[in-house]
Amino acid sequence: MLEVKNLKKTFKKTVAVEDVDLYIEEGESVGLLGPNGAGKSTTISMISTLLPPTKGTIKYKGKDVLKNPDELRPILGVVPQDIAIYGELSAYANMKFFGKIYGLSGSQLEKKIQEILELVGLSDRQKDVVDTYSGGMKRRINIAVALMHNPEFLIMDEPTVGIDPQSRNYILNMVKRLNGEKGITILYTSHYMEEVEKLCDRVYIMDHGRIIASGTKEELKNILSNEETIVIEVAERKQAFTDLLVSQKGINQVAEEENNYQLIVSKGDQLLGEIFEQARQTNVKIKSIHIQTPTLEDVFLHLTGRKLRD
Amino acid sequence: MFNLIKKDFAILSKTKSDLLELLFMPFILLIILGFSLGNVFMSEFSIDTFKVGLVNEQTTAKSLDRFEADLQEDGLPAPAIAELLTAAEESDPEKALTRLLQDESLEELMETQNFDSEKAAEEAIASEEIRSYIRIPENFSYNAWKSLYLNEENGAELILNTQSDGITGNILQSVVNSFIGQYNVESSIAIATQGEAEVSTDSSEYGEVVQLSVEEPINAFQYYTIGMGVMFALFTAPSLATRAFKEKEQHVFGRMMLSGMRPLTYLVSKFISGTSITFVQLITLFTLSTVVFGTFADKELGFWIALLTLTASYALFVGSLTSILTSVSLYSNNSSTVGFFGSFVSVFAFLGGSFTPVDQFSEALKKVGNWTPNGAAMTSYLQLLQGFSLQEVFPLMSRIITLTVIALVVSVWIFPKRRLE
Ligand SMILES: Nc1ncnc2c1ncn2[C@@H]1O[C@H](COP(=O)(O)OP(=O)(O)O)[C@@H](O)[C@H]1O
Ligand SMILES: [Mg+2]
Repeated sequence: MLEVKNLKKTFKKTVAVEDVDLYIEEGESVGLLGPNGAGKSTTISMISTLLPPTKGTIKYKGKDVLKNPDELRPILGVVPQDIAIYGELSAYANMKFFGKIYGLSGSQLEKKIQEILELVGLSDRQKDVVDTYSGGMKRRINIAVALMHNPEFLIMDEPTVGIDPQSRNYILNMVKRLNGEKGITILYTSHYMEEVEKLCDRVYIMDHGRIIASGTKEELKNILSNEETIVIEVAERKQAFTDLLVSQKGINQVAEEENNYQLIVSKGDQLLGEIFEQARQTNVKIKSIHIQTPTLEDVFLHLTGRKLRD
Repeated sequence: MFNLIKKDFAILSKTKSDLLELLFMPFILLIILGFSLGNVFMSEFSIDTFKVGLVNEQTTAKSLDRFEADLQEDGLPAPAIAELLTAAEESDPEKALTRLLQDESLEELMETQNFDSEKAAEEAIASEEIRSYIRIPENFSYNAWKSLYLNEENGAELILNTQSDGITGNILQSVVNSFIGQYNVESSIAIATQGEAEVSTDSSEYGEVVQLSVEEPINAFQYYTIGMGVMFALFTAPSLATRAFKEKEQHVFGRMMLSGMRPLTYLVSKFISGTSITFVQLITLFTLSTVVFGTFADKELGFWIALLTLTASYALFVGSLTSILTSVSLYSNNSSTVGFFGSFVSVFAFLGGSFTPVDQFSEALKKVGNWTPNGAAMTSYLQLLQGFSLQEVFPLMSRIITLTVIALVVSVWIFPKRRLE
């Protein structure tokens, strides 16, 4: 349905996006995973015809989107990373405004507004001014507005950033329903691996403006088929211990976080003995050790040596 | 389109800070200025009782003698001569002029001071005792009669020397013109202007000012209602443009573009919003000021119609300014650019004389002031208040309209027609 080739965007001297190839089939739910600044939003802006690329092509059903933006726009819904809503107005007024812009009117408009408010769970607060909403509610109205014209293709840019887990779950379930029940094609951007893992059939992993891996979740995890993840919880991290872990043969990546070490190790290597020994040497108290099956987070760690959320 | 404009109104009405700035502030300021500067203002800017010098170099008796001699020379029969002389004496233009200058209707407007010679009058001007004088030259009545009754000579000349091209200069010009009109001998009396030539050019700009109605002088509340209204109306433009910048920043503009809306539609909506918000703003202020202070309470329907027309054309200008600033803000990725252009508005406001009557400015500043749209609007409003008709104010108003058209063209020209970076 949508095919992107060789996409590039430079802002003055910074290269924000380079060599990006991706495709999306009808009805798919595709994730675009990457840390902050990876170039996700820039890529999305170009796909949604709001930002002209420096180089590359975007084709929708075989037609060049850059030359005919009006082919794609009517079926496209975009949920921007920022809350693109008039905060001074009520949710209802916002939806009415954007609905009218898409040519809806009268009872048809009214029906649509109520249907979508129901969907995003804001029916009872619809007359309240958006500025008085909680972060999660703002995110939901931000999505609601993008659904006013029944889009077939929904692009969502980090729609759950900075909100409470409850609202987040609500949104995730909603997106899953939109894709599953209504058959809306979804391109979902996030730096939360769990979200993409939960929602998406296929995933593109982005870093420093480039796609560094892509495929179904299984394919991606297969990258780690010869590896496994060991999570060590300690009382207190110590640099000496870290150094020993890094230099240990068989440990491919080491990431630290709070009281945790995350190691990616080659499968089959019996490393636990060494690890306990090194902890003893450096006087680090190990509280627990878990061996995990790999996640997409681990894939990213494997590919870049960094965690998604640094 | 209506949807877009309704949205701008809705947002404005929900934004307390903007409402405060655009409606409440000018009202508060006009109250403060109206009360505190009321007295100072009247003495400095008063158009009531300004002094006019009168230099009369002729005596009616002498002119009559000369006229009689001419008639005799022409060989007219004695009874005819006697009749003509009586008629001439009755229609003495000098008497008519002095009578007019002393007329009650002008009393509260200007005070005539007689000078023995032109030299004395010049000295009075030099010492700033007076700013203008009218000179009735020797043979004035004689020349008028010759032209009127014998169709000879080129008519009489009345000399107006004025150093004031402001409102007082205009009024004097109107008085003299009105006199000529009343005397009904346009061909026999001409007006020559000396001193600063401003008056004569101005008079041609304002059209023939024949009728002078002497209204109440402009009071401080009227002046500042106009002044504050005109100035704060200007602020509507950057306020709306800042909002346009926000709409772009927060991707609401992108959302609109995704709906297939043409960027130009958006620009036009800002123009119309700017125009209609300004119109509502000014009318609200005028109404409020009239209700509370009776500012325009005693005016007739004609004045209100003229006021609405002028307000509409000024509102169109603010709309076009909104349009330019919107273009700039969509073009630029930097909010301070909007602020920078917005600050021009304050410069305009100063030059336009919203705070200090332009009469107190230097000549150069004054000229610039009248070329700022708000300055032109302000002068137009004040002239309407003084009883000038819409037609008479039109030349100034046409400046506003010209500037509006220019602003619109520029805004469309710089508007990023392509998709946005
Ligand atoms: N309008 C812009 N001007 C200049 N640089 C930009 C602009 N937009 C994004 N960038 C840069 O491009 C890079 C990618 O940004 P972005 O696409 O927003 O990343 P992400 O959405 O993955 O967090 C960043 O380095 C960012 O600073
Ligand atoms: Mg982003």
